[in-house]
Amino acid sequence: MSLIELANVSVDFDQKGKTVQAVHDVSLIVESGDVYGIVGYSGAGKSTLVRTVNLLQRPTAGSVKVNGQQLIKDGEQVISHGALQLARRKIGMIFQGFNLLNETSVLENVAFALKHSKLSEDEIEAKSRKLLSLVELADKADFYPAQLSGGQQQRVAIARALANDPNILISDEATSALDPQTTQQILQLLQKLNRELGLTIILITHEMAAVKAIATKIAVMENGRLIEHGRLTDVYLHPKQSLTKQFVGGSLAAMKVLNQLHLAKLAPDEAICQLVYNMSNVTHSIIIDLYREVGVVASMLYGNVELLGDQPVGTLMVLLKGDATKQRAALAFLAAHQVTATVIPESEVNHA
Amino acid sequence: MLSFLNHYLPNVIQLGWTGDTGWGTSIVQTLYMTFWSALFGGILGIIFGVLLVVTKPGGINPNRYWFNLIDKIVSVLRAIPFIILLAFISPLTMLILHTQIGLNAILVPLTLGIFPFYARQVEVALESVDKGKIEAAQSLGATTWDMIFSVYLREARAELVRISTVTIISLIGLTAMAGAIGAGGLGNTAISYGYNRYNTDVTVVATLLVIILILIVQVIGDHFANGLNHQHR
Repeated sequence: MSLIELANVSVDFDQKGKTVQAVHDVSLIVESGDVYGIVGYSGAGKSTLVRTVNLLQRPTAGSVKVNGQQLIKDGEQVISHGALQLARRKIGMIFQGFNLLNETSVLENVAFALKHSKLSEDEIEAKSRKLLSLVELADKADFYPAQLSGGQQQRVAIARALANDPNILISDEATSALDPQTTQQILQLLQKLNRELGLTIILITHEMAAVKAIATKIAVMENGRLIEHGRLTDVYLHPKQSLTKQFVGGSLAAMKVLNQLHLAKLAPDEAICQLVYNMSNVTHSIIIDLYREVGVVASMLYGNVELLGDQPVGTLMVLLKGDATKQRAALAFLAAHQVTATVIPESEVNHA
Repeated sequence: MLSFLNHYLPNVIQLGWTGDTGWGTSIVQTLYMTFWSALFGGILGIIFGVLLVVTKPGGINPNRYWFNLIDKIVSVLRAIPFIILLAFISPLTMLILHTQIGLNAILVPLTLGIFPFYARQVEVALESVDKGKIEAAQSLGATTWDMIFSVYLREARAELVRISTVTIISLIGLTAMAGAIGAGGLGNTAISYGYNRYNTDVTVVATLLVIILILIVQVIGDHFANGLNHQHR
């Protein structure tokens, strides 16, 4: 079931008379239970795009439908101010800067979200305390936010965002201000919420590691456009766009290592090739098979295995040795065995 | 002790403590003028300051018409020098209170003189609330009233106390000026019984009393502002 439908959404900003297009004609469907990672460099329009989901940002054109309710139709707001407030309570959001109210206690921060619920004062307090236990901060209820660490503040923000039992949680670079260990804890908490409460999560980040850890789907944005999207494993194993290739496949790390090697100039019958493959599909060594079946020698330059959600994915950088016909045969062989092979142009490699 | 005071501050002692010219009377008058105009001016200032922030372009309820109107009122009133406002406003005072002189009459120009000054500072204080907090509260479905009371005013409260202190201190200065045109208070004592009669000792003591008053306000204000601030550990 599709929870969020963005159709041809564009957002223009007027900056000193000049129109800047932050989001350009993006269509995206998020289904119930998804953990949808949206990646891209800063300024790609990720935050602007997701802000159209709860209308913190009004799109200039396009349509937005959330929880079966039309918010924007062809660039016009079709939901009343009051109805929007109600709709927003079903869309939780957490931010890079936590954005807690500093002059109220942790408990009051959560209770603030419940101000307009049907609950009595006592019930609000009880529910707020329950939410704080969920994020393991029950003992910090009477603290002020500034007395907590960044990770704890973000957990309070999560409790607050979940107060009205939303079915959608938008995380806008929520882990970007946190250290790696705390980032992992927050991501695990989000994954737990997704699995146990069926919460649909939109995860905006510039850190591919965060997406790899918990996302089920991924969308890649560049210059306000959605350049690629789909299931995480599909996009990861078969990236089409060059930016996507930079983000996924461990290419950046692999290239870094490759350039440390200062390889000698390649012979005419040599090529450097990146192989990305799903480990669960590969039962025997492709390198040996490559030699046996095609007669191409592949020497290993770099190898890595990462977890995509629960799926192990291998990345190899190899030096293929064989004439042009054999090289073509090798690539065909690899493709037939569900290995994504990309020949790295020699110009991208440092030579000794 | 008394003979010492009589010797060095003869005119100060002569004015006495109670009675129309007494020191006690003028202190009470200054406090009276300050308190009521701070109250009325404070309420008006907060209302105008909040309206400015809420209705300005990019605010939580942007409204060009109201924003421009309020912005102009505040700017124009702020531009009028207080001593001119005192004269300028007297027909209005007559209309409201049916008198142009006395302690209550002076509350009208004092209130009108101080509230635009305060409104601008309230505006700046509320603007200092992090935009992210506004956004977060909106994402929770907060109403406009929630935004004003639970987010803007609450988050900026330490800053509001600080600017209120500054405003009350300015206001004490204005009451002294009002005193000069006969409204009473320490300003009146300093000018009428001190300066105009060449009684320098009266002027000096009246000035010292105003300074002490201001220091007390400052200390109390700082104390509250620090107590209300939880932005840092």
